Amino acid sequence: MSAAILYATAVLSATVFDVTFDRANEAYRDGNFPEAVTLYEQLVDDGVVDAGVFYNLGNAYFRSKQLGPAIANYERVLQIDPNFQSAAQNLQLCIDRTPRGAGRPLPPDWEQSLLFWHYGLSIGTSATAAAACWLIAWGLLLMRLIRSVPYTRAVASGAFLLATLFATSVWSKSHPLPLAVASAVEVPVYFDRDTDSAIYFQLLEGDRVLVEQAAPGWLKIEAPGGERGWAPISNFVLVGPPYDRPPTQEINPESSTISTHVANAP
Amino acid sequence: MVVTRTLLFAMCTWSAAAQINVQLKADIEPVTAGQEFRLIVTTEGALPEAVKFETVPNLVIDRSPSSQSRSTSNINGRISEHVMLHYIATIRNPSTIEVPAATVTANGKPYKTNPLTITAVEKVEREGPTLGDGVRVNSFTDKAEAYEGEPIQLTLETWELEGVSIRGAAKIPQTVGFYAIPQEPVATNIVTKQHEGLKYRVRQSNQMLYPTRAGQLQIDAFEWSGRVSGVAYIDGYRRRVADDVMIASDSIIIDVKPLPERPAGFTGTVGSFLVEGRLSSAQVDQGVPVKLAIHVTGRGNPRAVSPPNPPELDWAFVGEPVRTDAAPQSAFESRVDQRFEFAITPHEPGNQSIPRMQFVYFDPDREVYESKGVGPFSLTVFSSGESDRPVRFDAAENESIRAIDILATDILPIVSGRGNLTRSNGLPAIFWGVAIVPVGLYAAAAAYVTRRRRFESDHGYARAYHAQSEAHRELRGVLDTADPEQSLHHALIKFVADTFNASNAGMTAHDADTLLRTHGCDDDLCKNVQTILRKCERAVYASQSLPAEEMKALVHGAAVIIDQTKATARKGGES
Repeated sequence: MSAAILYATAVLSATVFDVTFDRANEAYRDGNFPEAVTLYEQLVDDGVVDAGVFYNLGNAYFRSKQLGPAIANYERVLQIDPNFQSAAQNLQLCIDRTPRGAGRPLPPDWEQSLLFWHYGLSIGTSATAAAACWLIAWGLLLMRLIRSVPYTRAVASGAFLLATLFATSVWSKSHPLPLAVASAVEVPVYFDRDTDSAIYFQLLEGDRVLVEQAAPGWLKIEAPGGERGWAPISNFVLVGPPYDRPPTQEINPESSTISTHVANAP
Repeated sequence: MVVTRTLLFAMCTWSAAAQINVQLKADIEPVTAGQEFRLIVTTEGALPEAVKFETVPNLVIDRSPSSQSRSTSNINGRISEHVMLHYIATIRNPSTIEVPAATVTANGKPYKTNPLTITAVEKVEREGPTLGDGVRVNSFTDKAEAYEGEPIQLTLETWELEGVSIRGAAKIPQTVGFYAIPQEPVATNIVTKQHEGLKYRVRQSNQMLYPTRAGQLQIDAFEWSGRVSGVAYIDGYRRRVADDVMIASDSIIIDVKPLPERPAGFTGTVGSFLVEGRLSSAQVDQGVPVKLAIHVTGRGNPRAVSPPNPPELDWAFVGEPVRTDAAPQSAFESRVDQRFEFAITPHEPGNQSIPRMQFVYFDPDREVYESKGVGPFSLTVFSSGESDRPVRFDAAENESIRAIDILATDILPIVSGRGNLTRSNGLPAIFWGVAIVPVGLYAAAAAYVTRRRRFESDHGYARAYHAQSEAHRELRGVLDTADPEQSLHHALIKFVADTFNASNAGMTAHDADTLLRTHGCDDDLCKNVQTILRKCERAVYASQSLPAEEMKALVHGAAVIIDQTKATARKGGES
């Protein structure tokens, strides 16, 4: 009975999510981009993690002249599905429109050396491969218990090794780089958590940085060049997970200028 | 090997030709008045031929070195040899002594060492050290007052008493309000110091701090907690003693002064610098970039050095500077060696001039703003025959140029019809099932196969394992047989033989009793077995049948005995 209720709830909520998604798409096609953004963000707030939703949300932000959130959402798409070519293309287009056109921060050296092969795989593919290798390895060991076949142990060891590698890939993909995207036209980065302290350097809209530490109202970031400093959190969109909303911005569809208002986002 | 030595010698000779450094230091700090210490003269890059010390009142130095040592170092590919001469010295009375620079003769030339200040303290008469003396911490800076952005060297010291072992962890002090290079202090040096007559091995860590705002900034206490252990003589016996220790240094307050009113063109850089400028070519074709390199060297925060403002040229486009940092990150010096390269792309031909560029910084030692100029530079630009339109080559163009889409006109359209959007619940349960189930299955199969193999290979184990169940089965049929006494005797003998893996052929009540006692069964159990078996044997030998009631009681007793014997066998004896 309870299983039936759970199933019914799941089906019902799935329908509700699909309806919201369709409404957001309609608003987008009608040119009502702020409405489309609101509806897509609602889906994300409800816990929907889907490459298509993030992709459309990125498009809606782009149409709303908000490059930072658009880039952050395309990054989310590529985290979930690295083979989403449209998202990669739109992301590149957004990057080309940013003042600096800077690249994405690189993952740590160990990941680049050990997992150089996994960047084109989705987390599902890596998880499936890990599970398959795991099952094969234990299956071979079981077979060896019953009947000794040459090379079983060597093949099982290889399968265990592959399972470990794919499992590492799953872990790495489920703990992506903590990226943030600068969403204001100019983002001053300070030596310390104090707007009265000296400005170390400035980020420009669309610059992607690594988040090293979060403190109330502030982020400690590392720029691709290795410079580190503190900047107000309200000037960034966090790529996530978790997939938080970007700071509220007043959107003027007729103009390309955006004014940032929120100063104390969580 | 000969080649390697020759090369090493050649490199040392080369480095000797390049630079000879001499240094003077004491082996311990402070020294104890009236006690010997060593003055160490280190010569780098040459063999010292003679060392001459100035005469200093209250200081006695032996004329000849007590020992000599050598070492070879390779720093960033630069191989150098150090020769250390140790001179025994004594300071007669407690005082602070200024030792003038010693003169070292090497390669026939005199070289001066650094002067040295040595403090001699009074000898402390004290009882043996306690565990509380085992470890000390200390933190200090090279200045207590500084300007915003001025480098401050923080030193953290962990003192370990000689002869004790310590194991613990240090808590790095918080430095809120400072920009730190590196992010955490790094170990730089190990020296020997003394405190209250005790000799310590001191591990030093350093970090460069740069105040980011004016006011009183605090460097928190340097804390250490852990276990100190050593050897003590208690009641004449040598015993190992240990204690948990938690210690902390005092916090440090730095008074940070604000920079005076900032002049025009101030880059925000604080320190003392030398600035040089160079143009890569004095002649260039129209549209071809030429590089203007500004080289800044000196002392200051290497992360806060900003380039001079780029020149405003109406005949050329000036790109954003590209920074190259040549100074390695250091925890004990604030060396700056940075090069900024501006790409200047002329779009008008003719004899052009790049005006003088000013690098304005604040010098905290002199407490004034300094301005170092670079240029002006002359540049001859040859006409290329093309139009005079600006050439785009980097991302620093103005807004109107940036607004032009060159690579693509628009983004790709949205997707629709995703179907069945659901909440994400992380990895599905099936994934964990796949991870756990094979392990469980393998464990169960391995246990089964191992047991089966033992039954096949270990006959005694198989007999003992099945003995109880087979004996009970036989007992259930004893009363229905034609000769129940014989059947009961056989069932009980077979059980005892199977349980202890013995042959049951010809086994008597006495044999069974011996076997049971050998395996640790208690006296009552053995007697009961013997009683049942003897009754059965007598009946069989006399060809008489026992009464039905007595037979039932014997079967019941045999069942109880079987369970007790099995329990004893499981425990390994001692029922």
